[in-house]
Amino acid sequence: MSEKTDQKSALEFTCIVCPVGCTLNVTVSEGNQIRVLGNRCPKGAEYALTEVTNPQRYVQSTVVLMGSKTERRLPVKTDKPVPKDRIFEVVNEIRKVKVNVPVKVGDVVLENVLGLGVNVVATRTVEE
Amino acid sequence: METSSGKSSGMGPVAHTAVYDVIIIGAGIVGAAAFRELCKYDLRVLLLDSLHDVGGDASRANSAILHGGFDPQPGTLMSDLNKEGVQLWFQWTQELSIDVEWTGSLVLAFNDADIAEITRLYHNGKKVRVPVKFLGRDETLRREPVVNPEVRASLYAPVSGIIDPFQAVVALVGSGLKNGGKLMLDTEVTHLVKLPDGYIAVQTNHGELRTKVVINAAGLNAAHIMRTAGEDWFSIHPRRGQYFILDKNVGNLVRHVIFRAPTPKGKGVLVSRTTHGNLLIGPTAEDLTEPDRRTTAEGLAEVLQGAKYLVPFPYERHAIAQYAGLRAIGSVDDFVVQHSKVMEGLINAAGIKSPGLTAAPGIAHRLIELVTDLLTLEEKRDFDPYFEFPPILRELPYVDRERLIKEDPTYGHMVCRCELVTEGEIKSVLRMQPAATDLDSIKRRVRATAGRCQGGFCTPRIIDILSRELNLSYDQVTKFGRNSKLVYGDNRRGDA
Amino acid sequence: MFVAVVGGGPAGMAAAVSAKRAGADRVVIIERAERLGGVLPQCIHSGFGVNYYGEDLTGPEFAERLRADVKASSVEVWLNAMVIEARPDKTLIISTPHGISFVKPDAVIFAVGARERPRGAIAIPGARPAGVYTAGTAQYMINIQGFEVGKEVFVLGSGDIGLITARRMALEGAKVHGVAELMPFPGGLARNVQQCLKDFNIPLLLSHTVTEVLGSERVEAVKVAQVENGKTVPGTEKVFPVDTLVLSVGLLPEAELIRQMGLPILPYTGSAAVDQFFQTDLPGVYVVGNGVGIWDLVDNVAMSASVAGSHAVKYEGRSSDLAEVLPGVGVRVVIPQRLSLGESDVPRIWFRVACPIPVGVALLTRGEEVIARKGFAGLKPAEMAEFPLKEEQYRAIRPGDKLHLRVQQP
Ligand SMILES: Cc1cc2nc3c(=O)[nH]c(=O)nc-3n(C[C@H](O)[C@H](O)[C@H](O)COP(=O)(O)OP(=O)(O)OC[C@H]3O[C@@H](n4cnc5c(N)ncnc54)[C@H](O)[C@@H]3O)c2cc1C
Ligand SMILES: Cc1cc2nc3c(=O)[nH]c(=O)nc-3n(C[C@H](O)[C@H](O)[C@H](O)COP(=O)(O)OP(=O)(O)OC[C@H]3O[C@@H](n4cnc5c(N)ncnc54)[C@H](O)[C@@H]3O)c2cc1C
Ligand code: SF4
Repeated sequence: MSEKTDQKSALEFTCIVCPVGCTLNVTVSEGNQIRVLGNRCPKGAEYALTEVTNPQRYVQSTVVLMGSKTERRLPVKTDKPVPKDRIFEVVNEIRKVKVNVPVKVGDVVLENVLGLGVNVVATRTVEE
Repeated sequence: METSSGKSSGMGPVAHTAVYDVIIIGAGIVGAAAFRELCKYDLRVLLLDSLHDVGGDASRANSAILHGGFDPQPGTLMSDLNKEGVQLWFQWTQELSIDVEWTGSLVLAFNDADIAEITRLYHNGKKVRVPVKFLGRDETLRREPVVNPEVRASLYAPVSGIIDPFQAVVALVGSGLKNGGKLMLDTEVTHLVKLPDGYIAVQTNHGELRTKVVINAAGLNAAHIMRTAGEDWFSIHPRRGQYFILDKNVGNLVRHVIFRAPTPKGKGVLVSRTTHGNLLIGPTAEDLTEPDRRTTAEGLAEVLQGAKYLVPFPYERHAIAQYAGLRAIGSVDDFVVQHSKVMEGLINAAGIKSPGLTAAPGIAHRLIELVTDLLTLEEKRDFDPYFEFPPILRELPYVDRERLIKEDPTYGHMVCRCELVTEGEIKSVLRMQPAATDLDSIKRRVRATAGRCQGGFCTPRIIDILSRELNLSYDQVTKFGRNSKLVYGDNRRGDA
Repeated sequence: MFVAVVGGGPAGMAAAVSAKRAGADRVVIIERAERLGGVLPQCIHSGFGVNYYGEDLTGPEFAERLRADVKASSVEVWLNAMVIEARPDKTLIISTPHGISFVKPDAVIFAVGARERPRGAIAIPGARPAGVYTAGTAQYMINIQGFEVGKEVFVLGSGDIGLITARRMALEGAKVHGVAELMPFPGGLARNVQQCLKDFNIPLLLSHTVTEVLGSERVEAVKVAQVENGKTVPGTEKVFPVDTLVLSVGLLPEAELIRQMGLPILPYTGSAAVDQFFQTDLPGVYVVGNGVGIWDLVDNVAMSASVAGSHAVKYEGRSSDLAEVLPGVGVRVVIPQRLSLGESDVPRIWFRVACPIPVGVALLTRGEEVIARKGFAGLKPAEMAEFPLKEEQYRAIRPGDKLHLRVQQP
């Protein structure tokens, strides 16, 4: 993590919400007033706010899939973003999961990971 | 079959006291040819190589040309064996179903010095009685319209061509195995010791073997083997040659093998098709002090420059692979195929530089003569001169493929999308003798990974096949044995 | 009407569904892999579908949506079936574990995707040990097969695929020592530079390349040097002690079957020329998705394919009036390269610039004459951009016109 969040000055981020990838200039003034420039849409401002206060990321990985004729791994993702500094802890929890066929997209394979209020869900359907 | 004494084919576990009539060190083209020919006789013959597959050194990284025989100085062993080799390859490629094409070759001349040189070659050819023709500019361009139009004349040698050198080694070794010979891979010879009872002890990293006769066909290492036997009049240094392989889409750029008139350094860069239809350009000629099989930016640039001079073409746009091979350049400017001067029973085939591939059958015959000086040879009555590879589907008519798929559905499952190699073919080369056991040995037998995506698609799938068929864990599957592992295993192992 | 779709990736599935919806009697998807989805099942990261579905999906989720449409629309799916020969009369020869099949459809849609350029295509010198993989191959091994591919990794190429593979390997516990990029700008999207590299403290070395691979059995190191004007700068060489080199140095359309049909291959797309319906110069033969040019976004792939699917069914002999579109100065790729004239809908034209253009104008010209112009900001080689052609501009194009699309910077 290259940016510090407690700096009372100008910060620059790349918005990761959509492929446009706007360069966001964020200024945090004395009274913790946050101003965002460079976003082409409101989502960018929202992203900049969380990035300054509590940066978060979605995480995707795979888990062991058992009982399938063709597949050994099931792709999964967190259904909400997790704090950026806990990504590796989340991935390590995901590594321990094993599931059996059949599974459907959206099936929860790991509930409330690390008590973060985030579920890990399947992103693929494997019937057999 | 894996044994404590290395990997062996055609034999059970190797006892350390195993006794042979002839042990051949080196399963390159020379050792393989000698192996095949010796297995015609009632002898206990063992072929050894330090690598994980046969044909793993110079015999797999060369220009794959069957040279016309006009180049070596008349009167040398090289000249005689080159000519004899070409004649034998006619017969052997048929008996052993090895891919060969007699494309003919053109040596191009661009200036007076070149013309003097091809004139000399012309007279060489006449002297040793191999077919050669002198062609003027027009005739040269008629035969090969794409060459540099500044060409002034050329030497045409109709009886020369291209061969599949990997297949050649595998078929020769396969033929020997089929006729009773033995093979041990991953076995490095460290010393030769003459024993009081007349036998030679062949010391290896897997113990000692005893034999009456040793044939030293260790390529670049042949002088080293001689020294372990106390023979130090001969030395070898590596001369590197670098190459580009190009996509099959441009394989038909030239019809003949195209050379530049030679210089004292060698035959220079050539442009040729391979028997598989790729285009090949190279080699460089770099004298090295240590073996170094790396390609270099300078070397590859030199290849491009040399090839573009002969046949102007944007080669780099169609490149799919590069490689380098080492010629074994001896301290004597000829092949050394003779009895050891110090150890009775040791026969050396050393300094086998180009045209060693072409000459290999001739070298093998010379070696048999030398063995006759030491042992009485009796022909086996049941020698089978023929060898066949498992079916290559892309070469078969659809009805025959259909029949094979009905027998084994994996013949319908494409694993290598570029060269159209099926799972069934891969499984069949894991079972043939000599067997493939890793990615590169599969490539040399059926060309999976040799195509334009260079294994991007099929490598993962072949890892699965190797793991399943040979009962290996994923991290035991290699590119070419030893520690050349392709992956580090399951990424969820140990997590629970 | 019998439509055969070669390839069951997003392009193939979208084409098949739209052909069926347009009323084809029989639609078959012929897919060589054991599953539908093409490269999507291995692209487990998000970033798909923002345009096509209006949602940020992972690759497998995007594929699942299309697969559900395929299932619902009675399209036949042949898996483990590879087209090994395509003849100009549209006969397809297919290798399957049940035998060799011949089919002769009324229309063929090639949705065969792309392959990655290997090490040999860019001639990286050095040794030839195990452990050099293209990014897509590494991704397949990690995400589909569940292999640990490398422990210490270097990545060459900063396109999206390279960036995403770098992050994926980092998440799997590998140490990613760096990503080198030949150009002075990253090849991939800015968001991926942020979330794949910066988030994981992976250094991005712009204007750098791998100059040598070292290692006798497995990769032991790579040498990396700075590049200036296409030449490595002496004295800038660094050695990274890695066991794996991942290459993300470009995709090329899988054009072999298309070539077999006798269609010329354009040097700048690596595939056949097509019109706005993705029909080639052979009537009834279409090429869509990454097989016709590299789109980057799967959304565009699916879009292009649905256009072709329905056209293949409605097709009744191509309209003979065609104009040609060629890439001009500053433009690397244009799709389509033909315009069928007199059609009811105005064609969409896509292009990719050769280098980043912060502010510029794109011009569609006929000789000296400008037919259409459009100002753009932030054009990047990493992205296909759409050139909006207006109705009256389209109607003004005449049969046989040779148009050029070029970009100008102020
Ligand atoms: C760049 C280049 C281009 C060439 N082009 C041509 C051409 O176009 N036409 C042509 O006719 N010839 C050509 N040649 C020459 C030809 O390739 C060689 O002469 C021929 O391959 C030599 O075969 P070999 O069996 O002697 O050696 P190799 O193939 O090198 O075999 C020697 C074997 O011995 C093994 N070995 C070494 N030491 C030990 C040990 N201690 N214990 C056990 N095993 C050991 C090695 O592993 C190796 O497999 C070319 C050579 C090169 C390098
Ligand atoms: C690593 C990677 C990351 C990506 N990340 C993103 C991203 O973040 N966002 C995004 O929008 N896009 C992304 N893409 C791009 C997107 O995945 C592609 O644009 C899209 O998958 C292309 O679809 P396609 O159907 O044209 O090709 P493919 O998905 O490649 O499908 C082609 C199919 O055709 C089959 N086939 C080929 N030849 C034959 C034959 N002869 N016979 C039978 N079947 C055949 C293949 O097996 C394959 O299934 C990524 C791509 C890759 C490789
Ligand atoms: S600010 Fe809006 S438009 Fe810009 S990248 Fe973020 S989401 Fe996309």
